[in-house]
Amino acid sequence: MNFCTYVRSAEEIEECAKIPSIREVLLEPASLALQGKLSLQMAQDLATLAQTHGLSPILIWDIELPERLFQKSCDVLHQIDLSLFDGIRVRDLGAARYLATHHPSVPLQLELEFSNHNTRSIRRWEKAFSNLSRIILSPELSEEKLTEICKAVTTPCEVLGAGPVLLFRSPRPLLSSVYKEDGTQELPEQIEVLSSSEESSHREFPTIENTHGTSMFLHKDLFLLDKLENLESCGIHTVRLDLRNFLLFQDGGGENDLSLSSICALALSDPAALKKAWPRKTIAPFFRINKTTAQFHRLKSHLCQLRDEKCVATVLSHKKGNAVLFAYQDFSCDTSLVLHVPKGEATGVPPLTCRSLHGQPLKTVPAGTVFLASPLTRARNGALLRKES
Amino acid sequence: MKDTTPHRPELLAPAGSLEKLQLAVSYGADAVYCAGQKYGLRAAAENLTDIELARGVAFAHKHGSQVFVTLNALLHDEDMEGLGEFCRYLESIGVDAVIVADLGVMDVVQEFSSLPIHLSTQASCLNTASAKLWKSLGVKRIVVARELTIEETATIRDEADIEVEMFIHGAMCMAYSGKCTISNFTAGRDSNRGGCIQSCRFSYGHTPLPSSQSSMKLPIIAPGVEGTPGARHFMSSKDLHGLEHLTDFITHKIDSLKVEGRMKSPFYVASVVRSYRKALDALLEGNPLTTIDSSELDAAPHREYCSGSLATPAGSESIYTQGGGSQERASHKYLGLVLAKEDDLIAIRLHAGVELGDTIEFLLFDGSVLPLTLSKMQEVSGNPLEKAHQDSVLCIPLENNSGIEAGNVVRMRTLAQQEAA
Ligand code: SF4
Repeated sequence: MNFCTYVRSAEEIEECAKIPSIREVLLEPASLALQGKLSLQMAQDLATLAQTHGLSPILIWDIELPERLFQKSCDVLHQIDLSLFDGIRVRDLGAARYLATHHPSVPLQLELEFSNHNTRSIRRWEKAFSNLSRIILSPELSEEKLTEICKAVTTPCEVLGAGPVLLFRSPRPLLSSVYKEDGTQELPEQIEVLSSSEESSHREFPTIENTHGTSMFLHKDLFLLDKLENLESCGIHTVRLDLRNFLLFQDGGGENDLSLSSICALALSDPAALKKAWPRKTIAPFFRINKTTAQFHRLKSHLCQLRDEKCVATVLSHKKGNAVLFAYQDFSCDTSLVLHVPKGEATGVPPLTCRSLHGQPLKTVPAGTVFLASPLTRARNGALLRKES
Repeated sequence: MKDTTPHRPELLAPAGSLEKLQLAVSYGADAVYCAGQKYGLRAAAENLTDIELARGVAFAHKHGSQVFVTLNALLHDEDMEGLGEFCRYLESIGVDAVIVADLGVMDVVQEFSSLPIHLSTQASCLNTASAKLWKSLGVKRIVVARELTIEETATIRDEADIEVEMFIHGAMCMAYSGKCTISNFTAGRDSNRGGCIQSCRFSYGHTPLPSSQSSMKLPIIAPGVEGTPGARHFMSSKDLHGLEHLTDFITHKIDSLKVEGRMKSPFYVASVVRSYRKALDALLEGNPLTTIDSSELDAAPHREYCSGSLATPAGSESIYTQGGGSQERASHKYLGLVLAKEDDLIAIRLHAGVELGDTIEFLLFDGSVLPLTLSKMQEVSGNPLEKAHQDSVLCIPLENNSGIEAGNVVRMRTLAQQEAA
């Protein structure tokens, strides 16, 4: 399995160079990358160093690009010698198009982590960019889906193997606003806190604010390093190790003695021990199956589905077997009807006596009218009257 | 000769049900957006069944309005089942466009129909390059990301030569649209398939990360107690209020102005659509913005308002730090909806109780408000009433032809407003 990882110093590149499974390093200039810390010069120097060590340097350009920033960001990109890099990784589709149009020879790595979970969309993105060299897939995809997607595309695919899950991105300065309101005068360039809410079971979500806005992360790290064989059989080409906040986010704030080399070695030799030694709690919530729509049927009344062509009226109020209803369509009062109540039961209805608002007996109830009907002993507000099949 | 008629943007309203669709059209929406039972982004919304969609389209077209159907969930493979047939059905009933966020969904729409495609804000289109890309893939209109200003959106429209739509009013996601998965990972509910649990509306406390290298030590901020003034909401957005930017929307030729709120009440839909309709019409007739009364937008429950990123990128002023209390900010309470009118009798489905002597207000479709002090009321059976309860049906005999019609929203000033008056 190939690993890639973020690097921020020459020492880290040298360490990567000694690890056979790492072939690619990700370099993040502060002005182009969400969590970037490097100056443009530093990014280029590290790219050169990576090349000399036989590593592929990839430039990260993953900030969101509102129109006002787009040209500025392209101008920053132009200050970089792109020939030093083996590819550019983007999240904004405008950035992807820009690269495909202006730098068609630069291999494009496209992050589709947030919003692409079906094979059709991923296949069409692949077709849309002839310079695509990597597709970064979502951590919400199951093993089965990863397999299907990897089979459907020819571009190598990557997933996050270990590291924090980005939950939320906003361009707004959310933390500095809180601190300013609280009277804190001076704030660091990057605000780093744990945010917790009673309504979220007091889980502590690392939250960072920097010049690119506010990012919130899950309280546990995604960890798939004990599933490398599965990932390999899915057809995953590269697994990303995100250790950028390894020390910052660790539970309890103590030291941990896992180095990149030991992580890569243990991932291959003893992933269970690695998982045990991992400095944060770990999670792989969707690898087996993604059931994040399983609760949806409970959010909605089953009656929603029953408002079809057979549905003639709905109960507005009721008292002692007399109900007030609203008619959705014309219907004759001697039609065989079934009453469906919100709790789910359906009961046959005896022939109804219907009257208009003025108390006139009705043989046919016109659509769009409010009328009285009896006997409807089991009526409940919201219940539906439907023609019997 | 140069065309001097002012640009007339479309007013686009939410329709969480057939009833709300009819209401929005009747109160002046040029177009409505709604969802079927699947593929949309509001899992808990009532939404429209197939037959209701057909009835809604027929109703809207009869009144000169358009219907756009949202297929804007970010679907997984298994959710795609039946989507092609649904697209065919939508085309057969005359739906005017579909709103899509996912390229896979777009692919199905294109394979099974010729429906025009609007790109949902959920796709977070932020720049001209991205708009050009979507256009090349077959998109006709872009609902731009909420992070853009009117001016930036106009640039995208001009440079990419594509229709643009912007949110003008309503609740806002604090995250870049489609870039929040808090619910997915913490509640097992996919926010991008309609299951958002609104974690951004919770109150949070903050503790500096113990391993932070920063030399500046930040204090701990307690979350406060939800529902009290001390509660801290750091990631909850104020609601958008774009009325004072209407002239900018018009001069920058924004094609469509969208009101958020498919989950909101008929009262909200009626008040907001009616307010923007009146304001737009007045401006297009040449009246200055300063003459436009915005108080109607305070009628229905809402959070504190801000202008989002319409003029300049939203900053700390757009954060709804105190949270809660959208009801308290409403000048009126929702009483109900006139369901039917027969001769001199109207039937109202009550959302709140009323009693004899109360002064209630009818929002008429022409934009005016008709007050009525209740001197006589009865049950549908004809029995006289002194008090009518929430969730009952109230009949009121009218003494003259008042202009009240089925579909009118009925409201009442809140106690605070009555006292102030
Ligand atoms: S939690 Fe808030 S920010 Fe996230 S998707 Fe829901 S409404 Fe948007």
